[in-house]
Amino acid sequence: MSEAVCKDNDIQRALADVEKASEGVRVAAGALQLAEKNLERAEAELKDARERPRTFRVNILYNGLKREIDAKSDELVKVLLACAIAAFGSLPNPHTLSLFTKDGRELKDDQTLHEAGVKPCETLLLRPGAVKGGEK
Amino acid sequence: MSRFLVRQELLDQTFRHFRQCGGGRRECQVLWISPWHSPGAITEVVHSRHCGRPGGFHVDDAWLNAFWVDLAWTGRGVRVQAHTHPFEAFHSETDDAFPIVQTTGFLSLVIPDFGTGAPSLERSFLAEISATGGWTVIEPRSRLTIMP
Repeated sequence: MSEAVCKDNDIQRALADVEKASEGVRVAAGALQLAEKNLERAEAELKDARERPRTFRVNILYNGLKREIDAKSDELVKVLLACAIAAFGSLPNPHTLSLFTKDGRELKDDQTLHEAGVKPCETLLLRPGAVKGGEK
Repeated sequence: MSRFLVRQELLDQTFRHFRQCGGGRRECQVLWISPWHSPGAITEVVHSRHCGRPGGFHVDDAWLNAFWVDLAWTGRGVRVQAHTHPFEAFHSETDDAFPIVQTTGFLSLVIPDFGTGAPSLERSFLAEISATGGWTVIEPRSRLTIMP
């Protein structure tokens, strides 16, 4: 084989390597673009999850019975109170009932559950704010 | 319509609380309890922690909170609240407004003379919460059967 033919073969191999490398770059660029899109989507989902009100369950106790109720961190205590009263059937005079924590703190109607410090799976008591009686 | 069986022994215990706590001078309250799996038979008398005076009583808030948790823990419920009056038994405005349970059909029993008489339903007064939130006067023996 002449020297000229050998050089020509080397050039052909080098060109093929360049072509292969270029293809690799194109594939990598595509993968990078896809990864960037996925990252953008993940960031958007994370932002949405952070901003969206959290939904969780709380346990409500009333006269020895327990009910589980769905609640949202941004809803008012009075909304949860209405749901709790409804969960135990029709309770007459609902205005006399309030929600209390297990350690006896009464939740304020106009606070959100987040502001009131209500946590997921927390147990709350539905009970009268006062129990009394007497002739006078 | 709820009917409850009450053993005479529990009625005796109820009157003992009224006498020991009230001393014939102050009002007193007890609660008649039964399990949720068998609500019709009263099984226990619970003497609420309260501040009593000649014309009324007020249940301790911390006690009520702990009691509410205990009821759920043990699967029991309050069926009847019973308290004394100095003289005649009736339901006052305070009795109407501040019961321990707000469920339709809940019963409130009032015993006259600070509970110093013989343990019975004689001259007692029974009221029941109606669906509209008012109280209906009931003949005590129509809902409470005292068993020997």
